[in-house]
Amino acid sequence: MVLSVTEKLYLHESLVSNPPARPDGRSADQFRPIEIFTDFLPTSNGSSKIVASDGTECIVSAKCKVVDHTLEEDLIEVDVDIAGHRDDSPLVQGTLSVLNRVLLSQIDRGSLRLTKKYSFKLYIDVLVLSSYSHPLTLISFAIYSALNSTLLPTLISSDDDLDVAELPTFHDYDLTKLTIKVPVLFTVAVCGKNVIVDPASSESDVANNGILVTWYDGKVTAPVRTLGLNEDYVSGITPQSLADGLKLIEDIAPKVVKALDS
Amino acid sequence: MNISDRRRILGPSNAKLLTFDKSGPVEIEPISSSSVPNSTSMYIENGLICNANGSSYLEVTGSTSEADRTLMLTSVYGPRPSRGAFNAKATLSVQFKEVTLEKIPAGELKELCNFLSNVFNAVINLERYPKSGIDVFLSLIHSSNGSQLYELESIISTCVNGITLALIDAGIEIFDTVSAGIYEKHIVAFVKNGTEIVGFWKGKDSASESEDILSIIEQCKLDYLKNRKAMVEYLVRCNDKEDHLQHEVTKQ
Repeated sequence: MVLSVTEKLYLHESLVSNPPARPDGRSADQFRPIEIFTDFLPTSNGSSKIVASDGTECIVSAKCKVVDHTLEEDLIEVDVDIAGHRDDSPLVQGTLSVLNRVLLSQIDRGSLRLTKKYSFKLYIDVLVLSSYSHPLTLISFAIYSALNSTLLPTLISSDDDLDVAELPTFHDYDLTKLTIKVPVLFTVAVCGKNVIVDPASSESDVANNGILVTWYDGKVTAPVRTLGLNEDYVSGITPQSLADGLKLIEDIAPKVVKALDS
Repeated sequence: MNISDRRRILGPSNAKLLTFDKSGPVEIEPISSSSVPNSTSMYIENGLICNANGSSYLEVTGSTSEADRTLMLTSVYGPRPSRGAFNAKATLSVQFKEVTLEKIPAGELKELCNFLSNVFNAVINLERYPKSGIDVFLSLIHSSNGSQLYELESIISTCVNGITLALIDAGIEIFDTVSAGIYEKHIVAFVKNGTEIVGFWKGKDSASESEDILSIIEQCKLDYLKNRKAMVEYLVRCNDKEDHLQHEVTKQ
C-alpha cells in the first residue's frame, strides 16, 4: 500500500513517540503471527512454508546430493526467487548473498559428513510467493524449519572409505533426521530512539534505519549491519540505538527459536 | 599589464596594485600518520578524472604491514537530469568495479553497493536536486592483505572515505563529512562528530566477541576521527593552494 506524505509523517511521529505506537498495536518486541507448515513437498528432503499475517508467503525446499567433499568446497547452496523482483535486482542479489554467506560460514560441515570422502551437499531453494515487507526474517525462519525437518537417507555402508574405496550405499527406506544448528536472521527497524522488531511494510517505509542481526548458537554473530529499509526517511542512528537493537534481539531470539523448534 | 582593460573600471592609470605578503606555493604532501605505530596512513588526490563532476583517488596502507594496500578511484557524475517520472529528490546509484583482478564474488559486491547507497542516502541532501540522478562509480585498483585474497573491511572503509571526498570535489551538498572507522572487523560510518552512525558493517566474527558493542563503536570512532582529520586537512590545504594560485593570477 502506498502511503501519502502526510500519512507517512503521522506514522513516523507515532513510531518515534515513547512507547512506540505501531499501526497494528504490537509492542516493540512483538512479532506478527506466523504459520509454518513443514514436510509438505514429497520430492524434497525437507520443506517448509511460512505465511505471515500480512500475506507474505515463502516456500523453502531442501534437497541433498552426495558429493566428494575433498573436491567440493561449499556444502550448501542457496537459491532465492522473489516474485515481482528480477533475479539481478539488489534485493534478490543481496538476500541471496547474505543467506549463502551466513549458512556457509556458520553451519558445521561435520554435520553433513557421510564418510571420510563423501558428504551431503544441501541445495536450498527459496521461493517468496508474495512479499509486503523485507522478506529476510521470514526466509530465514522458513530455512530454519525446513532444515530442522530434513530427513536424509541412512548410510549402511562403512563410513571409513579411505583404505578401501567404496561408494556410499543407503538403506532402502530408513531416513535419518538431519541434526544441524541453523542461524536465524532478524531485521530490526530504528525509529528515532525506538527499536522495533519485525517491521511491517508501512513501518519499513518510515523507519530511520534498519539493522540486520544474525543469531546463531545462542549468541549474536556476524553479519550484523545496517540495512536501508526506505529512501525517504533514512538517517543516522545513535550508537545507543544500535546497542538497543542488539539487546532486543538477545532478549527475544531464544523465545523465537524455542517457538520455531516446538 | 600595460594593456588597459576598457571593460572594467580600473581607477587611475598610474595606480599600483596592492601586493600581499604571502609565502611561496603550498606543497601538498601525502598525509600520513606513520609516526604512530599500528595505524593506517592515507594518500589523497582529488580531481584526477577530468570528465567526471568530481573524483578522488585514495591509497590506504594497512595497519598491520606495509604490504596491505587498498587503492581506490572514485568518480561522481551528477547531479544530472533523469528522464521519465517526476522525482522530488535525486536518486543515488553506486557501482563498484574491480579494474584489475576480479576477486570478490558478485553477490558480495551487490551487498556492498546496497550498503554504500544506504549510507549516502542518509548523508546527501537529495531534496536539493529534484528530477536528477547522482551516479557514483568506484574502481578498486588494488587490494592486498597478506594471506587473504582481499580484505572487505578496508575496502568498505576506503569506499566510504573515497565517496565523501569525490562528492565534496563535485560540489554536491552533503550534511556532514562522513567517514568510516575500523576496529576488529567492525566498520562504522559516522557523521556529526561521531554521535551518529549512518552505517554499521560486521561481516565476519572477530576475536573480540565478548567486547561490548558500545566500546567497539568507541574504538571505531577514534579511527573515524583520525580519518576525518586527514581528509579535512587535505581539503583545507587544497583550498589554500587554490587561493594562492588565484592570487598569483590576479597579480600578473
